[in-house]
Amino acid sequence: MDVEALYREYGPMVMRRCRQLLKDEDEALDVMQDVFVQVLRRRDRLNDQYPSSLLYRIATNLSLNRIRDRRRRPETADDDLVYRLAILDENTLEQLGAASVLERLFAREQVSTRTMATLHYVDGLTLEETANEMGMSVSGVRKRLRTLRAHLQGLTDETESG
Amino acid sequence: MRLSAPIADWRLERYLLKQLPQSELQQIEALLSQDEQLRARLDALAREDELVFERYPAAWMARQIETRAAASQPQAHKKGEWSLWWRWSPAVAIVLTLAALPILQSPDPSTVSPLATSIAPGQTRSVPAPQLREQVRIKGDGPRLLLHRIAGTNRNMSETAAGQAAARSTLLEKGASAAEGDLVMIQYDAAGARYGLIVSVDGSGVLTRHYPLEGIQAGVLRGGVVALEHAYELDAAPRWECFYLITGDVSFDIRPVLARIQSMDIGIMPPTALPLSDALLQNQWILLKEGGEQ
Repeated sequence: MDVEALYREYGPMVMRRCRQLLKDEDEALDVMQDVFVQVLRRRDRLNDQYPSSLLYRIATNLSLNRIRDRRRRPETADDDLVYRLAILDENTLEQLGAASVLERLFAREQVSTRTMATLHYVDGLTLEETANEMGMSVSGVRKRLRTLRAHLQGLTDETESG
Repeated sequence: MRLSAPIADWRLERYLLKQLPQSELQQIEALLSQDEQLRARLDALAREDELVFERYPAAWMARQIETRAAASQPQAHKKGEWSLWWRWSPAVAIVLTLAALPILQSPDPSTVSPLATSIAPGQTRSVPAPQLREQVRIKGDGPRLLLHRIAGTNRNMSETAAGQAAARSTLLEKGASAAEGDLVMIQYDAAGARYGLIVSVDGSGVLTRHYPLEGIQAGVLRGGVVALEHAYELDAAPRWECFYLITGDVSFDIRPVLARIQSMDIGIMPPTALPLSDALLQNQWILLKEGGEQ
């Protein structure tokens, strides 16, 4: 695979996505390279009609992982939703029904609910656009987000009452 | 004039890449002809693309990604690193048998000139390093240095040429050979450490500060893998050049560390680890000189 050509085509988009979520140039650069490493490992999926979709999702997912690993709350309220999505762990997602048996079996897309929620709530994609991005049905996306919203609301209530 | 509802950044990115269904591409094109703000957003994205490539050149970035991908396959990377290092194991063993280093009076840091200003013409020099960050990371490692030889350089190289040359840089392994005139880019991976000192001593006993360039306190380290702003040209000093990264979780006085380095008996063999307090970690990197005064 021609990595340089891949970077020339998608590097700026991936970098912008990482910067947008991480708000830190060094971390964005670090995560961006991880994105391309993952793409190299999943090169078979680049045959999709729109490879940018795959890269964008991976960039979102890895950036959320990095935010989770920081173990510190964001300084601004604007970033709080991203933070709360990022710290959702796999157990929580599983409880929410995000990881089906098949998904777990193939260890794939285990955190797709976080990415999905980020696209919808943070980026402003419609349910239909989010469903297209995630390769799911609109009803499936709606169901997951509804459950997730209830969970996030619960987290907010706990925080405010605590 | 804005005539339309805002288009999400995500969709604009996809438009720029022409990776949208034809109907959506046409829809956005129609909007662009009427919506000044949308055109401005698109122009801004295009300008930002250029800045990304300027700051992180494609050829260099491709190498970093490929190196990282290879490094994430653990066996291959580490095996190569150790195989070269252990070629020098007899020398290392001799060094390890040396007596503990004497500790002399702490020097005045002002006598240890920073890299950017202290290097005599024809000896060593600094040139601006491109704003690049090596991205080799092996999870679980502590703070460490990464040294690159920048190929195709010469003394009169412009900053632009240095940036282009960096794209052809070679990650040096511990114990690698180096020669007078080699231009070395220094990077560090703080691995969570917050303060640090980067310094080198050559086979003539000349000490060079690389970071921080001045002051008596260790410098603040940034996260990730970070390149210093200046590359370092090796001079004709004999036998070896030994680099140290000293790190701590709290700020520390660098004078005792410099004193320990300056107090070393400079001999044929490169120095070993420094006797430092338990609060400090050190990572040592030795380049063996070829073709210099022996």
